[in-house]
Amino acid sequence: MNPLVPQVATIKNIVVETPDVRTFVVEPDHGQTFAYRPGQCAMVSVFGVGEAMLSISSTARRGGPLEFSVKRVGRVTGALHEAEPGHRIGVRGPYGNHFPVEDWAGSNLLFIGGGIGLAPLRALINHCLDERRRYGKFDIIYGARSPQDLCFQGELMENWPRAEDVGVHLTVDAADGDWKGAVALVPHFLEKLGPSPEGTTAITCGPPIMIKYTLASLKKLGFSDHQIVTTLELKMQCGIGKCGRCNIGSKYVCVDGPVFTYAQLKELPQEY
Amino acid sequence: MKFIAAAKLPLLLERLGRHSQVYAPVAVDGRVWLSPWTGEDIAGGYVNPVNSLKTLVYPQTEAVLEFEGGETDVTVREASPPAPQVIFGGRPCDAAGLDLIARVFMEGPFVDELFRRRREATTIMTVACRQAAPSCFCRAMGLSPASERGSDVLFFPGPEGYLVEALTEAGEQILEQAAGLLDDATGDQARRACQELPVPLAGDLNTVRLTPEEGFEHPYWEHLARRCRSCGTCTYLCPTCYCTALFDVTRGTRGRRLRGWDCCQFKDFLLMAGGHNARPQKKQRVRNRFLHKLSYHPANYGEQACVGCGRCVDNCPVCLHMAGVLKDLGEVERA
Repeated sequence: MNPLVPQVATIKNIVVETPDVRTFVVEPDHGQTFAYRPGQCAMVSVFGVGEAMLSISSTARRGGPLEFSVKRVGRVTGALHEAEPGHRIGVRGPYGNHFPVEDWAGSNLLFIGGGIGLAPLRALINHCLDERRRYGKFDIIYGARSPQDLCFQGELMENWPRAEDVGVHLTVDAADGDWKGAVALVPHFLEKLGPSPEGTTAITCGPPIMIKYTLASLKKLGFSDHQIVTTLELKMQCGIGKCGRCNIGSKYVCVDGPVFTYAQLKELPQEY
Repeated sequence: MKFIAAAKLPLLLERLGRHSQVYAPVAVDGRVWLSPWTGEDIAGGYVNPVNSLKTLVYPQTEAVLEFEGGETDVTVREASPPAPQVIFGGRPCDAAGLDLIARVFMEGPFVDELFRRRREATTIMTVACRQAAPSCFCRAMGLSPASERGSDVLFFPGPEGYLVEALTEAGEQILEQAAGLLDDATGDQARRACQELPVPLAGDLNTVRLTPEEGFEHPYWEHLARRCRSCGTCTYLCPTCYCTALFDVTRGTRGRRLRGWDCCQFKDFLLMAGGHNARPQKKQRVRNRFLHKLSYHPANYGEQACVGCGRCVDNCPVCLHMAGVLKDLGEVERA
C-alpha cells in the first residue's frame, strides 16, 4: 500500500472554536480510523488544493472520530475553513512520535500552551486525565492573543477546572472589556506563577517564538533539560521521512519528532 | 563472464525492448542523454550522461494518485504501476547514487511505494568507465570506474565489444533473454577489461568526517554562501539529491496529486503558511545541503551522500561544488 495515498474521509461536524480556529470532526468512509497516540499528527488533504500536516486534537482511547483543530493560516487550512459538514477530505497517518506519557508516572504535569498549540496538548491532557491516578498535580497554563482567541473554551472553563487536582491558568496578550484574568505573555505569566520544578514534567506547545521564551523561563525556574518536553513544527510534505524537507540536522521532525525533550533539542543544530 | 560484440548491442536492446521500455545513451546536439531508445545510434565516448539514472527511477514528476468528483463525492485512485524498463549506459557512480537513495526510500518506518515499484520494474545495465573527466572524483568517495553497487548488469567496454557480468538475479534474468547474442568471455578479454580502467581524481580529497559540533558555526559557510546563486543546478543534476514536493493539479472535476523534485536551496523550501521559515538565510540552506551529504546522511546511513559523479563540478555557474567543499573542509579542519 502506498503510504502517500490518503483514506477518503467525511467531515461529520465543524466546531467553531475562535474566529480563526475550527475543529473538524472526521470519519473515514471505508475502514476504521487508524490508531494513534497523543502528540501524533496526520496529513489532511483537500483534493485539488493540497495537504497539510495537522496535529490530532482528539484522544484515541476515548474512541470516537478523529478531530483536527485548525487555525486558518494558508491555502489548505483556508480551504478547510471553507468546507462544510459532508465534504470529503483525505487523511493519512498517524505520523511522528508521541508524548512519552509512560515516562511520567508519578510526576506532576505542567502543560503550557499558546494559541493553536493547545490542539496537541488537548489530546494529551484528555489522555492523561483518563488515567488521572498515574500522575501528580496537573497545571494547565494557556495563553492566547485575546479572550476570544482562547480555544476549547468548554474544556478550559468547565471540564478541566472541575477535574481532580487540576489548576487552569489563563492569560491573554491583550484584554477586552469583560476579561478579568491575567494579561501577560505566556513566558512572563509562567514566571509569575513560578511552578516548582520538583517532581514535575513541563510540556509546552505553541508558536516557535513562544516556545523559545518559554524554554528560557522554565530554565530560569530551575527545570532540567530532561524535565522539559516540547513539539516542533517544520514545513512537511510527505510525512514519512522521504521528501528531505523537515530535517534538523540528522533528525526529521515528521518521523523522529514532533515531540522532543529539551535535552534532545540541545543535541540538534539550532535551526528550527 | 560473457562477451557481446559491439555490433550485436543494438540486437540485444531490440530484444529487451519486446518486454520493456529500453533507455540507452543517445547523443542529442553533442550531449549524451539516457533516452527512450528506438534504434538510434548508441553513443560511446561520453564520460557521463547529462541525466543520471536517478531521473529514470525517481522521475522529475510522477503521479501519486488521481481524484475525481466534487467536494461531497470525491473518489481517489492510486496511480497505475510503472511499466518494466531496462536502462543501458548509466555509469557506476550513478548506479551507486541510486542505491544510496534507495536506502532512504526502502528503509525506515515507511517504505516509499512509488520508488520501490519503479526500482523493481527497472533493470540497470551499467557500463564501466573507459575515461574520466577532470571533474570525476568517484575514487575520493570510495567508488571506482567499475564499481558494482546498484547495477544489475555491468558492461566493460573493450575494442571489439563488451564483457558482460550479471550482478543480481534481475540481471541474470535479463541476460537469459539475450541467449544467442552473448558468448563466453576469453581470459584475454577479461584481463584487458581490468587493465584499462581510468584513474579519476583520487588522492586524499575526501578526508572529511564532519560533525555539526565541529562545523556548524564555522565562518566558512558564510563565505561559501556569498558565492551561491541559489539556482538549484547542483540539486537537480545530483544523483543523490532526492527532495520532493507534493502538489495537486486539477482540470475540471478531475485531478492528480503529483510528486516533483524540489530544491533545498530555494528560499521558500521551508516557508510555512503563517510565515515561519526554519532556514531563511542562504548560509543556512547551503550549509544544510553540504552537511546533509557529509554529516546528517552518514549519521543515519553510515555513508556520505555523494558519489563523485562531477556534475556539480561541471555545471555550477559559480564553481561551488562538492569536490571543492571537500577540499576546503579538509583545509578548514586543519587550520
